[in-house]
Amino acid sequence: MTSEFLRLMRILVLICTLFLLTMVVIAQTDVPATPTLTPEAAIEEFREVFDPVAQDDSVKYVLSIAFLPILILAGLSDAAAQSVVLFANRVKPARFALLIFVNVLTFIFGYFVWVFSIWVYMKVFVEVELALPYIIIAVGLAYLPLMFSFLSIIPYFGNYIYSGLLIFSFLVIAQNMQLFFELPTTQAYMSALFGLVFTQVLRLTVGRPIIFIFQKFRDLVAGTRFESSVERALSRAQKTSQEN
Amino acid sequence: MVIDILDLIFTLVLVALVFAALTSPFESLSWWAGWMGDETGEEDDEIEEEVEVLDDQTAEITPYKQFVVYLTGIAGISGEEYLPEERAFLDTLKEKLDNAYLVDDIYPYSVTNQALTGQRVLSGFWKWVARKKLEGGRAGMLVNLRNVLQVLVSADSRYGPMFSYGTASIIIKALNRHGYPFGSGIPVTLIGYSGGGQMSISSIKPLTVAIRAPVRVISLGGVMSSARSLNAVEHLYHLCGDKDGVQRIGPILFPGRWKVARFSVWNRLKRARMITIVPMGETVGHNGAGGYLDDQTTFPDGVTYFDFTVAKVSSLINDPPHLKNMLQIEPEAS
Repeated sequence: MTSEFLRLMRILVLICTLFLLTMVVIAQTDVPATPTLTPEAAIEEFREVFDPVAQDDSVKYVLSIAFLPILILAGLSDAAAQSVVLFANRVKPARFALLIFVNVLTFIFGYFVWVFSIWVYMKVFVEVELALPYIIIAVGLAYLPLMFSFLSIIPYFGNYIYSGLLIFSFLVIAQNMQLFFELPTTQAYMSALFGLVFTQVLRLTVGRPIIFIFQKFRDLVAGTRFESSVERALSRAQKTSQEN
Repeated sequence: MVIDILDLIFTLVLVALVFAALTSPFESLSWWAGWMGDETGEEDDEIEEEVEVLDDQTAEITPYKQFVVYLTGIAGISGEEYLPEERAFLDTLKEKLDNAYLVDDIYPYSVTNQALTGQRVLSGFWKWVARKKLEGGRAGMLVNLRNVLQVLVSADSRYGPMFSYGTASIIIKALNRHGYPFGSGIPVTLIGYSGGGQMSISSIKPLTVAIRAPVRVISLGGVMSSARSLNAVEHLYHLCGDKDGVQRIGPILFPGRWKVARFSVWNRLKRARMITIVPMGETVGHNGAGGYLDDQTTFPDGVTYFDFTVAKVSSLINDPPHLKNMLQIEPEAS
């Protein structure tokens, strides 16, 4: 019991360290570098705590779960930002809430696809098998900026804010790959870029049936044929009103 | 200590501003989604049907050859209460119009035509702001800020299309109230002052489709984007004084207005001479003293800015120059 409690506490400390680390990584240009708080030093400290713990399979599992709150918050924020499509589709309030939930799930699924794609890239192209928990953390931390996706609701400037956050998130992944795995800069950016390309390839190939099923499920939740773009939703609304 | 308090005030203002910006699109979005009870976007889809019913009733009874709709600037609180200079402008303009009916009871910063002081959650707050504004305080800036956010909603590619349906719907309802003979093809001219310029151009397409008549726009120092809806305009006259810094926000803020965006709607229409820039003078500004509606400041020939603006706008309505060009072009084409 005591050892389990201590393990849990260590994990909590680890998460707090990670949060601090991310803040440093994200704002490293603004935060004055101190001997103990440079990203490299923080990574070292993190490894000292993490490496022995990471040997334990159950800890790996717990760590993956520990990132869920970040993902859920980022997912909720992102879903709120994308909610304009739900309004355009004239979804009723109850179904609206359900669709937000569906969007959060999709967002989390996208995160794991990205983690997997980086693992595939390193395995296939660099022939190095990275520890999956490390990738989960490296990519998970990069999702922190997306917790501010809700700011893209701001009219007109929101589009630019969202694009900025996506670029920021992408850069943090590349940066984390560099810091966590000591990859050369090009390699780090290539692995992050591969994640984007890989996701698109999946969407257009083996992912099609999954997307089809997902769309059917979304239509079911929405209670109508759901259009994924505002423009298409508006033109369908016009057609429907003309037919009536 | 003082710095801490200033810091706190700054933070609170910033948070309030972000909160206001975040909530600003939801009036038009929930209207479109049909979440607003009786006032729903879904019901407004049926406007066209209502229009058809009205065709036979009113087609022959109007003596007017044109309907003019005024869309107020960002200082507007409701469709009934305008700034004194705006009210004077509208009253004088009415007298100068030949066979044209002026509709001036629209509040374009709400898709439901709901005044800020009307049936709203924050109506009490806006009533207080309106009182302070009348007393000459700076509280009026809050109205400006709120309406600027609505202009941005209208210019946003995500919210804009839904907002434009809302604006078109309140214009159609106003035309209906004032006896516009739907189906007659009688042209409608929208006058958009300041932010009203953006509201005008964003509503052109759904408005044209619904009333099946040409829509012209006269922008009085309008802040405008390169909205896709502009494609449906018969002609846009953009009146701007050299000292008007507000209208200059449009060409800076909206990339479609930049000269490099050669294929934007705005630049294409400009090349096609469907947009005419009407210079109002080197010394004319946007509002207040030295603004378009200033009845104190005069040009060297003794004409006040106010009279000049009224004369310009009324001549563009009574005798639109673009129609002469169209008449000149037609024989050549045939």
